[in-house]
Amino acid sequence: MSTPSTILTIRDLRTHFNTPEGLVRAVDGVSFELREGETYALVGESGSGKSMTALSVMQLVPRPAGFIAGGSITFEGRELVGLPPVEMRGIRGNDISMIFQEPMTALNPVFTIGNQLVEVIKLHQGLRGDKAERVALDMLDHVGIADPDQRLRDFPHQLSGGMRQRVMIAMALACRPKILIADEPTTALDVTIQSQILELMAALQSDLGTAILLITHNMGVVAENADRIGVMLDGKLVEEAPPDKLFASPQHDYTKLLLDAVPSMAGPTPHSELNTQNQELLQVSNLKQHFPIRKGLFQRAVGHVRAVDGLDIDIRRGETFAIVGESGCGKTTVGKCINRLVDPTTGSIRFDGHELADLKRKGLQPFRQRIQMIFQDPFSSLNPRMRIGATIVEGMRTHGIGMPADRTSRAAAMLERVGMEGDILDRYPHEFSGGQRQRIGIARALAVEPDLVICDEATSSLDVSVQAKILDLLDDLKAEFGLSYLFISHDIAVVRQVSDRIAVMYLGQIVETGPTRDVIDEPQHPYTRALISAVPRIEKDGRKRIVLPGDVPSPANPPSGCRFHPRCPHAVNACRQMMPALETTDNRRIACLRSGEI
Amino acid sequence: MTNLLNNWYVKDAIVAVVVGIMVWIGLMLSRREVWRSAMRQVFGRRIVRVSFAILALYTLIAVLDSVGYHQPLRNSDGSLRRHPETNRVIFDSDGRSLLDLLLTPLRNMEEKTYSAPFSATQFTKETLYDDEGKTTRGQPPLKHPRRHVLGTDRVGNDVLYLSLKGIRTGMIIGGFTTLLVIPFAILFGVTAGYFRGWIDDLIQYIYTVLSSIPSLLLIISFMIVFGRGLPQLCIIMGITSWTGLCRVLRGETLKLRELEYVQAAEAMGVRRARIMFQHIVPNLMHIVLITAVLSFSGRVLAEAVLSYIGIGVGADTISWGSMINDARQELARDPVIWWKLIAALVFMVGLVLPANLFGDALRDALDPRLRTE
Amino acid sequence: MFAYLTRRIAYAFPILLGVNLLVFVLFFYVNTPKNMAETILGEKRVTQEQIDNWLREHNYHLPRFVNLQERFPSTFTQTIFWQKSMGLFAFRFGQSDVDNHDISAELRKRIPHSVALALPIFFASLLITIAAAMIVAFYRATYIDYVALVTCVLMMSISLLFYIIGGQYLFAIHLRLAPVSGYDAQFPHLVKFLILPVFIGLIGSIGGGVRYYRTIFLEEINKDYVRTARAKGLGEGTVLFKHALRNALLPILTNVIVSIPFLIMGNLLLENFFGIPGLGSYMIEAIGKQDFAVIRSMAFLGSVLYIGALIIVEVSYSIADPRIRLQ
Repeated sequence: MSTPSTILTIRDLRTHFNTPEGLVRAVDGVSFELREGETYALVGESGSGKSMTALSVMQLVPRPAGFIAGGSITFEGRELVGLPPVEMRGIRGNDISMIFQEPMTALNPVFTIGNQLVEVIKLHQGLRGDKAERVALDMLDHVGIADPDQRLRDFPHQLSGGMRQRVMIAMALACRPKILIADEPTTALDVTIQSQILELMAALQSDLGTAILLITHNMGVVAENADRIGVMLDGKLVEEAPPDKLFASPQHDYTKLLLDAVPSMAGPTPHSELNTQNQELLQVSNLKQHFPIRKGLFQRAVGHVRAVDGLDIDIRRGETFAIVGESGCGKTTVGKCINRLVDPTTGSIRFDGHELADLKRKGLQPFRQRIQMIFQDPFSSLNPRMRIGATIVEGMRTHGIGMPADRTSRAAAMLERVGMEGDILDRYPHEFSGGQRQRIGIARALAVEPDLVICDEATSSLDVSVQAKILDLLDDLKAEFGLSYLFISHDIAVVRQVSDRIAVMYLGQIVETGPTRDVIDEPQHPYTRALISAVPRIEKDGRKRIVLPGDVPSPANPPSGCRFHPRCPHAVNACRQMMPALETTDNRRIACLRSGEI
Repeated sequence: MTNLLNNWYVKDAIVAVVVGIMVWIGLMLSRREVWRSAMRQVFGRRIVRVSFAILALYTLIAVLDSVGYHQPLRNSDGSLRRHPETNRVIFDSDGRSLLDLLLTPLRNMEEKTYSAPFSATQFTKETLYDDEGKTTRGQPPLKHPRRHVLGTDRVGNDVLYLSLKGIRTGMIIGGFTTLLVIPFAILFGVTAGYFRGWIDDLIQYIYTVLSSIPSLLLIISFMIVFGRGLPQLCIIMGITSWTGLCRVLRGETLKLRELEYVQAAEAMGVRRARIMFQHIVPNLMHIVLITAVLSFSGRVLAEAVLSYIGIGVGADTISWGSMINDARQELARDPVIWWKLIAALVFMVGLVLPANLFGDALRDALDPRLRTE
Repeated sequence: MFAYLTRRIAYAFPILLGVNLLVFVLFFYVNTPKNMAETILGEKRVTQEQIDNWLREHNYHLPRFVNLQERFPSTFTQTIFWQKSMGLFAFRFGQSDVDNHDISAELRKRIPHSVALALPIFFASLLITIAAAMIVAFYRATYIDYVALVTCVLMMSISLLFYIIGGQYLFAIHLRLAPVSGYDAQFPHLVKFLILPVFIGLIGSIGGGVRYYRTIFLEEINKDYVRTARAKGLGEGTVLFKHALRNALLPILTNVIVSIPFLIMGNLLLENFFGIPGLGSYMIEAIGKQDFAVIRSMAFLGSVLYIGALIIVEVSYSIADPRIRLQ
């Protein structure tokens, strides 16, 4: 087999930025080539320059701060660096297309899908009117959008995130480009939608023979989709290899570090021992949180968003309990109910023998110390106008922990315990990186000596190498301080690594719950199976990816019967009518009418 | 109330408090690294440094003009005049300010009537008697020839002196009004946004009612009822700018209260008052600052218009607006008497332009997304 | 949509009632009818009898809210509040305090003149400022942008009074290109009298307008969909004039509609300087004559128009922005 010819060659590319802090070398001498029909993946953590490399190819580096300082990008023998804008526009969207991370904002909100799709067809193919529209229809059909006639007249906000990314792909591929640059195309999507999109991209690639430059931070996505991989660090390409070789024997230290940090979906789960003798710390039963939808002249509630709809969980002392699910499943609302940031509609929350669900502000005060929270976004979870010391001491003072004079030294000690220097008390959050801020957030929570810590997507916005360190830290602290964790996450690989027991949520309800190892390694519920099979992973385990059709329905108008039935490959008539209850089988509980049969 | 505010001692106290507050705010901010780095960015451009220097100069003049004193009356032999019974020194009932003292030469350079800038002679002609007793029509020489940089007005006052005295009025209307309003705007805006519910409804109702009367009409109604005067003007302009700031702060509080650090404080059980004043208010201060500086210029310009249409400061207060008002008749003359008008306008631009440039720089550095008109 | 409108108009009522009460308190409590009589009749050498007569003539002798000397419903209708303030809701503005002219008739007569001046300024400045702002945004972060911005700030730092006085002097008195002031509602003459005030009004509004719209455009230009449009290969012109402009129109819309009341309420200074008999000069005359009834009416009319404009803003938003559905 002859080697396919190269269509894009990048040599010593340097893209720099002028910032108030001086010159930033976002891309600093990157060279690689893209061959016809292949998928080349650029991986790296945030700030590694992978997106800027892509934007440099498109000549879309944000002006005026950014500029290409040197190097060459040749596409089919044409030099793109310094190409006159008019000629470059003939290439963009026609020969080289690009799709972006945020399908929510990447489409113009005030034009219809049809308008935006036809625009690019008119521009590059010179087609007009009906003909252009027909191409657009074909394209929508091609990317798997049902009822394309209708969708052409829709506005972007009327489509779900996955659908919008399909529209973006349709737009990018409408002119049959030779290269598709996909910049984190699935990062903003749920894992089941991610597998739909990845599947689609692979199918289109084999149809059209497009070469794909895939930019991503997700090693699993790379492992399953790339032909060759380039690893980027600080604007440089540090290693390049095909996946098999890269994952089997990484050469560069950074690659090794990166691969070590990726939470694994194979091998033994770290928390396999179950201690059933432990006392129960938190018991949630029949928890419901319905938000009214108001309409009409008198703003009467015409319906409810059933964010959480009848949830039972219990957490034992010393345990890490995880709730996983896709966006909109209600997992975050569960966390907010338990620490009473919202008032649950009905249900009981018993914490260490005390009922919290109907306590008022004053009565809750003692529990505000015993239940703590670690938040998702390290950039908004610390008050930017408050010193680190004041942030940590505030909780101690609120709950009268320690002598006033000792609190500062306790704060310093706690900071040291979470891996920070103790002398940063007088500094402000903006001086620290995301990972460091997350450590400060942990110190804030632990300084008041809690029993239960709710971690809501606590590592989701961190780079994988930082995430690994934070997860280790949380694990160490758990034993040392005798904590229990409620770990809320969408990331199944992370949950697999840290939790003892797990509950999988779908549309406000639990579909399957049990020991982590059992649920993740041998899922029973059809949704859990699909969810877990959709997780991209490095290990080649011969699993078959179950791609679920469609999107998650709205919690304002959930399907009748089993909420999962419209997407379930095993649904029968009964599933449409009867809502299954959680029933215990062996070591776990499953809400499926057909459990045992399938 | 008007009398009280016109009392020199009360005025002094207010000036002292205002200057104190400004210095305190400056010190507080300069100690905070967040603000220091923002200020480094703001002052990075020369045009901003120049603007700030001009604003500082105006402020200094306004402060000097606000520190009042009363001159003791003297007898013709120079000794202090005393009360015949109590033997106390008698003071002049007209207050003077430190600026008056500094500008004594200017203030005393009075002429009979109009004279053009740098002119040696009076503007208007009158009957002159020469040495031989013959009468001619001509422009008599001035008492202080070629010394009036901006000329003199109808009653012979030096226009430069008047323009400098106008600074205090402009600064009070532009700046003092804001300081008056900010505490209320913060308190109401943050309370409404943080507590929501009926408190929010009530506060929203109040400022919606006030802001739905077009501000010019509200000011006119208020001024025609309460009569002309600087304190009234400050209060009503304060009310009209309160509504806008309050609305912005409420909206911003609604956003902030959903942020994770406020949620974290809630979950920690931190007292509500502390959440409002430690977690929310400090994160709104940049908006307050930007709005204060940018609305400053609007009010200075508005004062001129209001004084022009006869509902601004009273006739006894020197302001650029009343100078322009005076200039109405002067412009109808031929040749035109332009210097009083031009002086007032130039002094106004000299204040408003730097304020706008400085405000823009503040916004660019602190919150580029904040929309201001 | 219908339910929304009904509710929105119902919401407007308590606001208008608040405005009404506020105006009532200002004009009948802070400033009592007796004060008013004294101001208008002259404070000195006026007898109690003259004051009483004046009050009776203008119906200001009635109690403010409740008239206990009358039977129901006159208990409430024979009051100043009912007669003077409730009538405003029906646009019954009553008579002038000074010369008894009918305010409603005067308003009807004057509004067209105000609109004739304000409308050309409004459209011309809208067109010019948006176009100029787009050009400036196109050259963002270049020297052109910087110079334009400083020019805008300079232009908005100069009092409208200066533009008027200076413009009148330069164009009317010195160059004699237009009449100094005066007005003729007949069409061809109208143009002659309006051209200078319109031009000056335009100059006065450009600085602030360009600067404001520029920030709106820049905000849009930095959004993701603009990058998508560029990635499609669209030219900078299409990106700017199709994609960014269409989105920027939404905030511009608010600005435009909210200024509608001011089109009707007239331009105080321009009308006064150029002798245009619109609502602006009506107001200035009322201030000069201390005509409280006129100012009271204008304040209420102004807030009705403003609240109406806000409702129009929301409705037109729902038309212009596909994401918004009113309910």
